[in-house]
Amino acid sequence: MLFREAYALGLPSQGTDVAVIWDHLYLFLLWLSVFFFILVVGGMLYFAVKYKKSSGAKPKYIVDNHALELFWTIVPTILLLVIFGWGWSVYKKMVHAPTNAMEIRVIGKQWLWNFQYDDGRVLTNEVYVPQNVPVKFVMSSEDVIHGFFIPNFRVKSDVVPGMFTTIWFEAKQAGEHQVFCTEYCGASHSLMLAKVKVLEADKWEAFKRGKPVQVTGAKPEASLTQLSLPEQGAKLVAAKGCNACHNATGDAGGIGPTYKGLFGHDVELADGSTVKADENYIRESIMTPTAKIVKGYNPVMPPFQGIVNETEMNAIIAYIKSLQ
Amino acid sequence: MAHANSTSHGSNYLNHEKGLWSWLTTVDHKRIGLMYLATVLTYFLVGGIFALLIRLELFTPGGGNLITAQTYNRFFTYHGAIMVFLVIIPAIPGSIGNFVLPMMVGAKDVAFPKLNLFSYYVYLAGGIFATLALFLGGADTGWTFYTPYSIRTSGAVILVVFGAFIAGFASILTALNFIITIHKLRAQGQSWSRLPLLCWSLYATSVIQILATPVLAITLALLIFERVFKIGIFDPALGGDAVLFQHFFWFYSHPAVYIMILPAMGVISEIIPVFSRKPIFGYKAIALASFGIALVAFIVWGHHMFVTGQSELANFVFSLLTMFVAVPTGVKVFSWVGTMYKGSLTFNAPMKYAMGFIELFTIGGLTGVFLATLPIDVHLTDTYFVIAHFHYVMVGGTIMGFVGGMHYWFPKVTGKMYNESSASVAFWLILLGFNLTFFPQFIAGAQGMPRRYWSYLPEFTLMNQLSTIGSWFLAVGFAWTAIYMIRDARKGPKAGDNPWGAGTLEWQSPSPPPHDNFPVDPVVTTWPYDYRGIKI
Amino acid sequence: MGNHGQVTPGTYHHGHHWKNAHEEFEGAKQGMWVFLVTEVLMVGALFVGYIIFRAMYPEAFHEAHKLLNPKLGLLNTFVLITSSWTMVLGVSSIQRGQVSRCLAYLMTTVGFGFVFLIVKYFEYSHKIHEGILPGGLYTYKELAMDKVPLFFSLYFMMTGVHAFHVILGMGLITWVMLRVKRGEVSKQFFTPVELVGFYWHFVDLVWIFLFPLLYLLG
Repeated sequence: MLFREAYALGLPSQGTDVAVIWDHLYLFLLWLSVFFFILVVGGMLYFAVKYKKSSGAKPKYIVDNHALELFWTIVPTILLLVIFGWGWSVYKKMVHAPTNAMEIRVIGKQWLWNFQYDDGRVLTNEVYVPQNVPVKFVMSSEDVIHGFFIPNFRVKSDVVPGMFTTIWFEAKQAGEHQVFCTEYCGASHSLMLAKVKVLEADKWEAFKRGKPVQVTGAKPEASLTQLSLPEQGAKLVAAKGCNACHNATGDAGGIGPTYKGLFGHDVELADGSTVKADENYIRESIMTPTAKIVKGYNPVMPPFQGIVNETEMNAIIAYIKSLQ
Repeated sequence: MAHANSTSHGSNYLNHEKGLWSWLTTVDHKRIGLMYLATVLTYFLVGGIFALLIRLELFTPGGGNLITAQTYNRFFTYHGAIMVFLVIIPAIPGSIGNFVLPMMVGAKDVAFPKLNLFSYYVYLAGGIFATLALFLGGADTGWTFYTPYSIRTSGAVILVVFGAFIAGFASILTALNFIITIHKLRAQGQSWSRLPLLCWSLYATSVIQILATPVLAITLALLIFERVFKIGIFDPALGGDAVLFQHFFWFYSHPAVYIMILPAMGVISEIIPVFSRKPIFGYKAIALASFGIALVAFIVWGHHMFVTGQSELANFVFSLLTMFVAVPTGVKVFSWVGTMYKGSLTFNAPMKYAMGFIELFTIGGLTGVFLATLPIDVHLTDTYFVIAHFHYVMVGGTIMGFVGGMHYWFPKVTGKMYNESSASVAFWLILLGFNLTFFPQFIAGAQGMPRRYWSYLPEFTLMNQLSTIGSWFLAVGFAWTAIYMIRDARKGPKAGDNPWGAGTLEWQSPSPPPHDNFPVDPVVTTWPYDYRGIKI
Repeated sequence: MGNHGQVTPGTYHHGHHWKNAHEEFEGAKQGMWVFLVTEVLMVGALFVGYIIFRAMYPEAFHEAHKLLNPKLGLLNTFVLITSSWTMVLGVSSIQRGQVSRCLAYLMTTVGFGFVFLIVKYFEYSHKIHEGILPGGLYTYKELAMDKVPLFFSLYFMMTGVHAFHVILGMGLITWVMLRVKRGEVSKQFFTPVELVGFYWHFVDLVWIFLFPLLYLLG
């Protein structure tokens, strides 16, 4: 394992079998490149030393050499065809999901990921999947083009409005795997992150029954009910993707207004009027965000109607209240 | 070869007419070349400052240590748009090409001198529109203007797009001028097989510009209409197709990378034989390879879109075709190294840059094969690996060729000689700085760090910090180059007419050349890469 | 166009960087051809976009094209073809040195250009009035089919780009007329007339493709 890390220049860990065959091809290309680099640049430097004028080299009149030129045209062509063929065989394994793959719908929007299960559950910025079972993500976008990328699985696809794209994987490593948005989608593009949480068979069964599960390798999390209401709210705003645009530091430079010092204070709106930030104002701003736009900000927030329930709403309001 | 030694007396293109107005209204290709040079370098400075700010923000993982996310997104958009449309595309054709190409074919000027001046002002207008956008709301689309984001985001996107649209016409007109100049104005005795390789590569570049740029123009026009009239061709919400924009855009912008690199390859092909005192190896193969690259350029655009959901068949075809880009490119690189074999090498600044070009371009080219390979691209696309790859090709290739060319023709343009040890210091700073800036980005990309990220995860910190430190070396290297070049253009020692002992026609003219380029119309009797009769 | 061999260096002074007036004429002509190649690619991109969408949504495009008036399209086709003919006559007049006849033909060509634009104006204003507009602005109730607005996005873009070229061409012909009047263009030097003629034929040719594609096939 350590050896692999050393010579693979820090490739991400191999979360799937596809990642293993991908790494073979990548490392082949890497060493082939090292060979050609030494050939070309090493040759150049060797000539530079050997034929430098100060060593008394006399130039020889050579115009061309057809055999040599043919050689360095044909050999790379053959090599490139081999690389292409090898690449195609890996690519087919990457994109052709087994027919029995479990489907999960993925919806990208500025700037969070929603995962929709067959049983109707919708999770934000985290998705639980079973280990050693092929899983297929059927992805679409609500607004602009996003990109869904799991480095550990070596899979990526753009998520395009107006069409579906898919990726699939069969996770071998239980635990958390990072997801990035890879197609530039606006202000919080770099904060549009998610985690794929791979569960062993028994934990997967528990998850399906709606029980809380502890992901292998992840820090143990207190279940929501063990936390105070503001603490629950803090976890919720992180999980729902709110922190991509809003912060708790009081910094006004974000995409959306900060939580800090909001509750109970007057807010100046874009139309020049002011409104007091009470419970109803916060509820409206979450459910129908474009109803009242704070001065200096753009109407870009998606509505959270149907995504945040009453219990969660109370926790979020309690959290904002706590940040005075 | 006659060496008219008239440098010490008589009028040249610099003192032929005097005053700012005589420059602004000149139709002399040499003066227009210098005006392009000054403008390109100004934009290079602006684009470079944005690059430094981007790198500075990325010195630490969490976003917001220097600038907000929105500011960051604007900065990388400005950096990309300025560097691509206003610097790299016009850099070598507009400045070196304008100055040198007519002289290389022994002509008094380009075919259409007034059109040449017009194209400069069109380029300038494009630049001004794009620059205005910085002050009138900004743009945060990235230089690729992908729809539907570019339709929906606020700001002065239209101005930037219009700037790129306008600048495109300038490059079409320059290309048209070069093609006709090469066809109709070659000196007596200069058959096609005696045409210098820089002319061949500028010819190939011009063909691409003529065929590809209009497609970009109409695409950008459509984008402007999308924003103004909601025509919806690229907006799925209105029934259009978001990915169609990418097809149109890359149909231009992929050939555009060859518009950017081919002229630099031409410059390298001039420099290496001169400093090896030996004919260019495989003249015909290099000339043909330029056209091979130009041809393949038009049928590989889909390799930018392997993960956009285009069909597997399309991916198959585009990946296969892209592989063939590497063949003519390899032929050129091998031929340059082959030229050095059994030569008599000297290492003045142009030669250093040519060798630097080979080092960086080889890395850029080889990593291109990674990205052409379908499954490898799936993981690496839209990561820093791609950023590193195209900076190796576009900066390591084009800018090294451009700066090398600036040193090579410096004595011809100014009549003075630059200081060799000053140039050496700058070269090593730039070479080391470049590798330090961009090599770690390959590693960060392979690890999975996506591009256009204002904030990144802590595991990428080391690579980003190395990269940022490298950018400071690059900045110092370029700044120092600007300083000694200005100094030596004014106070450098007088250069001879042909200080390098080159065989192309521009060196038969005095330094700096007279208004009409040549005291007597040159007649070509040999090919330009035979140095046996030339004494330095 | 085969009679450029008659160009003789006489009263006209060619550019100092050309060997002679004939070479200069040949160079200018090649330049114009290269420019027209660029124009073909530019318009070609729009045609490709149209063909792609038409292949994707044939029914909607067929229904949409019925809203165009083929009679007016046909009328404009005749107008442009005739104007190309008068342009040819204008070029051959100046080659023979018949200045006033050349001016008359060029004037007629510009006149046909105006007729074309007037017909186009009526077509456009009728559609704008009905709400048959591109993409998001489309409000026509009688045909509320999906993707029909897309057809009109392409229709307005393609005919708009073409109309813009017609206007440019009319401007260029007017400029050439002024030069003919001032005596700068003559039997010895008629390059501008001939090149603007090329351009006008190109504009005409684009319409010859646009008309059947939009009005007849749909």
